[in-house]
Amino acid sequence: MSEPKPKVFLVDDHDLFRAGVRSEIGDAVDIIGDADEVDAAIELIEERRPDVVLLDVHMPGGGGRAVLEAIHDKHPGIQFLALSVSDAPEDVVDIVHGGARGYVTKSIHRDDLIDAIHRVAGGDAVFSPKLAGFVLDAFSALEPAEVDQELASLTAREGEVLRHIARGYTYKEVAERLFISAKTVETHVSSVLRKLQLTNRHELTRWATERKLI
Amino acid sequence: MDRTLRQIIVGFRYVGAVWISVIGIVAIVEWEASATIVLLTLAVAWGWAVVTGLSPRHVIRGWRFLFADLAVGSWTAVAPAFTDQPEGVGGTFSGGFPFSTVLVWAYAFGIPGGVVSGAVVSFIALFPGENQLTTDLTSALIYIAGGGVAGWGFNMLRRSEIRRREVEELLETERSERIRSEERAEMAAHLHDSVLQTLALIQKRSTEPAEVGSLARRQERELRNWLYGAARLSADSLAGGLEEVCGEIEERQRIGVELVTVGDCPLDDHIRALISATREAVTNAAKFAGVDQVSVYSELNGRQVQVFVRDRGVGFDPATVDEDRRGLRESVVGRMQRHGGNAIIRSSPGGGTEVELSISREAP
Repeated sequence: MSEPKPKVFLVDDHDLFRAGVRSEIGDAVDIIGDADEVDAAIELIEERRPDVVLLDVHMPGGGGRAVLEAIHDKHPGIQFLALSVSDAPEDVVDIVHGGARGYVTKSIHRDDLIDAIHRVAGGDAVFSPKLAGFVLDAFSALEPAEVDQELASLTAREGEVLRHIARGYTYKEVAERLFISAKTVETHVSSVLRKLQLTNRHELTRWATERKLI
Repeated sequence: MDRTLRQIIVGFRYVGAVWISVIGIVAIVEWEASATIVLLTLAVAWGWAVVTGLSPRHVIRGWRFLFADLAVGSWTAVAPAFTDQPEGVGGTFSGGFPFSTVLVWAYAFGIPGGVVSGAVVSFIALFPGENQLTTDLTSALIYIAGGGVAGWGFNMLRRSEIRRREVEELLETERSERIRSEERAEMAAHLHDSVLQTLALIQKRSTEPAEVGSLARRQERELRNWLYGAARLSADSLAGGLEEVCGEIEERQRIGVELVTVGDCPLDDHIRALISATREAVTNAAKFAGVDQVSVYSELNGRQVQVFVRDRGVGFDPATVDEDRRGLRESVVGRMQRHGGNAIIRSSPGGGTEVELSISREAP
């Protein structure tokens, strides 16, 4: 591999899961540490400065969101990829709103996880089909009058890109289908991520709870 | 319980005060007793009764108050000796008031408190008089015995109260323990029927990856439903129906189906047709594409609903589909058209397949 291995830090309160990830991707990336609780994670991440933190959403003591909030503003260079068994909309959207560059479920295949880590390390966003679906849903539900018009809505192109990802296309396939470069796909996705992070957290929570009650 | 005992004591003291007042007036009027002494005694008795009644918790506890109480009780008991009643006329006017002091002490110190205060009050009353020794000794014995009985009674009441509370606590603990163990048993039973069985099956079939994957997926879905049951989508909506269909195919065809839904609406005949067509399209992909993963995406846009079923499998040339492979033609394209919808199949050999279904909801 020509590019250097990204430095990865694991945060998860399940020992078995951390061990599993280590053995699965340990040769493809450089795992520089792990933690099983929020406070230890914050301390060690600040000390070791990884490129990417693989972050469990559900943990005692504030969960992944607490780690994100403690690190994100102080060290913008450290990227977060959320990893969880939950596919509940409120969890997914909340952690991405908090600053994670992407969200994947724990059942993700090894190669896809490694690919996702590389993408996130490069500053790109990783949208699983599920996350793309949630974001489309959230933006269609948010009241444009309540937030900045520009932020509240996706451009036609962004919507199209997200729709393809939700349908199961990879970034490369999306690029081919829409006759744009893979880099442009990345740009669209990152822009969607930024818009999501700028929306009102309260609004998103409301969307998520309403969605659940359907 | 202590509160009830205090109320009894306060009540008795008021009764005693009324009692001593009635006899006191009789003593002044009929027995030619010194009005000064009697009225002074009545004032002390009533004053102390009111103080006790206003704040029984403090009065019947502190040492200072207890001794004041003893002094008041003793004075009311001994006062008749100083009334200068003519020899042989009438009797003592104390009535039952001094006994309230004995009750207070019995309350504070149990049997010894009752006995000691009874002795003090009655012997003080004996001192100045050279009256009939037997009568006074009898009343002294009654006081002492009464104090002892009161102390014993108070103790009994308190002890039974404590026992009752202990029994209640024990019952409460047992009850919550039982509920907890019932919950645990229910959880254990569920895990045994589901997760443990699946794990046993997985161990047995560990050499068949497809089988293991399917077992794990089914178990995961089942467990999620059990844990978050109430929060899941209802089956009688577009998203709920699709979820049901995808789960069913995952189980039957041993593949993974990734479902993403944007927007949801209630079922009508068009939507039911759309879901049936989706079932057919996913089943087709599972059977012929040769992949272990199919993606399904649905989106509601106003009254328009679209569903995409996509696989990265072997693909085929739509122009040359065998006549006998009627699944796509009949069950997907035909069904959609009959309901005023549309189905587009995009596929190429080696390039995977995507079926796009669109239909509009029935007019309201």
